[in-house]
Amino acid sequence: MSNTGLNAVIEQRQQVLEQIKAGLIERLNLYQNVQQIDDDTPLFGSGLKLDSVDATEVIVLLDETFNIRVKEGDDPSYMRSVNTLASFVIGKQGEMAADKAAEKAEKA
Amino acid sequence: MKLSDIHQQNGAIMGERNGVAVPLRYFDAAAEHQALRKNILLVDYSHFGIASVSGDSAWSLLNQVVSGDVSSIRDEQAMYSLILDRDGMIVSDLYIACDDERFLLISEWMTGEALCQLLRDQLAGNEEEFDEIEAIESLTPDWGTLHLEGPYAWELLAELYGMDVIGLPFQEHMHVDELILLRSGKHGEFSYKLMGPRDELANVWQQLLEAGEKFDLRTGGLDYQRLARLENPCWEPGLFNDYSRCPIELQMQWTVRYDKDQFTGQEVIGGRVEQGVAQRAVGMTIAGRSEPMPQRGDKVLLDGKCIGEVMVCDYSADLDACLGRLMLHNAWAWADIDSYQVQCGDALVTVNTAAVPFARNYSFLINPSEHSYVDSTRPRDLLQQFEWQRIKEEQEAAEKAAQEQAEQASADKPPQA
Repeated sequence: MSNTGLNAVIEQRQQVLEQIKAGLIERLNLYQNVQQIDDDTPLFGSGLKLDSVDATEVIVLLDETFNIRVKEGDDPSYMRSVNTLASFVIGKQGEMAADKAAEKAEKA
Repeated sequence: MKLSDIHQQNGAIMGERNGVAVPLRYFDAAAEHQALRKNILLVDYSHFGIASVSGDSAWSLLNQVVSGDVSSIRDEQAMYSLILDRDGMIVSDLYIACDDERFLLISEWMTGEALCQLLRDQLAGNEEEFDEIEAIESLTPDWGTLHLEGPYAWELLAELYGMDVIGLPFQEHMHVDELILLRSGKHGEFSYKLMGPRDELANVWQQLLEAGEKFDLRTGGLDYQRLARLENPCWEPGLFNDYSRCPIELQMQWTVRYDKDQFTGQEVIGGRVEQGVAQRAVGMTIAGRSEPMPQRGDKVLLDGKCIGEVMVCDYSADLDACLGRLMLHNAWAWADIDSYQVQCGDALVTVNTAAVPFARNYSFLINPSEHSYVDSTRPRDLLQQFEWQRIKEEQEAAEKAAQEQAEQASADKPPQA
C-alpha cells in the first residue's frame, strides 16, 4: 500500500472510530469522553458494560450514522469491541461502494 | 493431605508466582489449553494475594487506592480494577469483591500483605477521614484459590454446589460451604475462583477431580496462561513492564473511572488523556505459522523506518495464526493495517494489525440453561443445537412428504368394487 493509501485508510478508521465512540456516549449516556475510550474497549462484560438492550441501540447507531443495516447472516463478533465495530463499518462501507460502482458501470 | 502434596504426588512441575509455590504444568501446554477452550481446566491459583478491609469507611478508603468506582458494587458483586502509582502507572490489577461487611482485594501480582500495606499507607495521616475502619488483614497465605475455567465449568460446579451456580452473573460471588465462589476470569471462557482455607481447598480439589472425570476435566499449571493470554490479552507485568505501564498506552482505560472522587494517579492520567500518548499497544496477526516468527524486541518497520516493536508473538493452533501485540508509535497504532513489516534477523515478515481479543471463545456458544456436556438428551452447544434442529426439521419434512404421498396414493387408488 502506498503512503497516500495508508494515510487514507488510517484517516477513514480514525473517523469511523470517533463517530462510533461519540454515538455510543450520546446514545448510552456513558460518562467518558471520546479520548477516554480506547479502540479495543470491549462493548460488553467489564468494558463499556453494555447489555442486550444497549445492543439494539448499537444496531440503530449503525443504521442512523452509517446507513448500515445489519443482516441475519452477519458474523455477530463485530459486537465485541469498538475496534471490531469499526472494522465491520469499514467493511460494509467498502461493500456499499463496490455495489454503487457496479451499478454505475451497468448503467454506463 | 495438603494441596502442595497433591500436586507433587501427581507429578506437577512446580514453580513460583507472587512468592507462592504453585504448579506450572501438569500435562503438555497444548492439552491444558485444549481443556480450557473445550471443557474444563482446574488450576491452583493460590499465588493470588487476598486482603480484607472492613468497617463503614472501608469503601471510601479503598476508592482512593483503586482506579474503579468501588461505590458501584453491592454485596455479592465484584469488579475488576487497577492500582496505579502516583505517576498514573499500573502497579497491579485486582478484583474487588463486596462481601457483606467487608471488601476483599484479590490480586494475581501482589501478596495479601502488600495489598494491606497499600491500604495502611493510604490510611496513615488520614485516620480522621476514615475513622470507621475496623480491620485490614491479609487472608493469604492461610487462604488459597482454586480456578476452574472452561465452557462447562458451571456444570461441574452446579453438580457440587447446586443450581444457583448456573445463575451466578459475571463478576459476582456466592458462599458455598466454607468457601467463596467468584465468577471471574480473563481468558474469555466461563471461569470461577474458589477461595478459602487451603486445607479445605485440598479436599475440594479431590472432589473436583472425581466429579470432573465425566467432564474430561484436566488439571493444569500457570503455563497455560501464556497461550490463553496471547489469544485473549490482559494485564501481564512481565510482558508489558519493559514497554509501558500506562493504562492509556495499553488500551486499558475501561478500568479507569474518570468521574469519581480522587484516587492515586488520577490527576496524572487525566492530564495524559488531554496531552495524548506517544505509543499504543495494538494486536498483530500473521496467517498460518510464520517462518521466521517475530520475536519480542524485533523492530516494526514502515517503508524501512522503525515505528515500534514486537512485545510478544506466538503461534495459536486453534486459530492457525501467529498472534501478537505490538507497541507502535501512536500515529501508526491502528487495527486492520497490512502495510507493516517486522525485521526478523535478515528477513522481513509482513504483519497485519488487528483488534483484540483474537479468540472466538467457545463459551459464547454455550447457554447453561440449554446445553450440557454430560446430559446426552441436551445439545452440547449452539452448533449442535442448530444441527439437531436441522435434522429434526428434515425428518419432519420427510415424514410429512411421506404422509402426503401416502394420502395421495390412497386418493388415486380406484375404489374397490
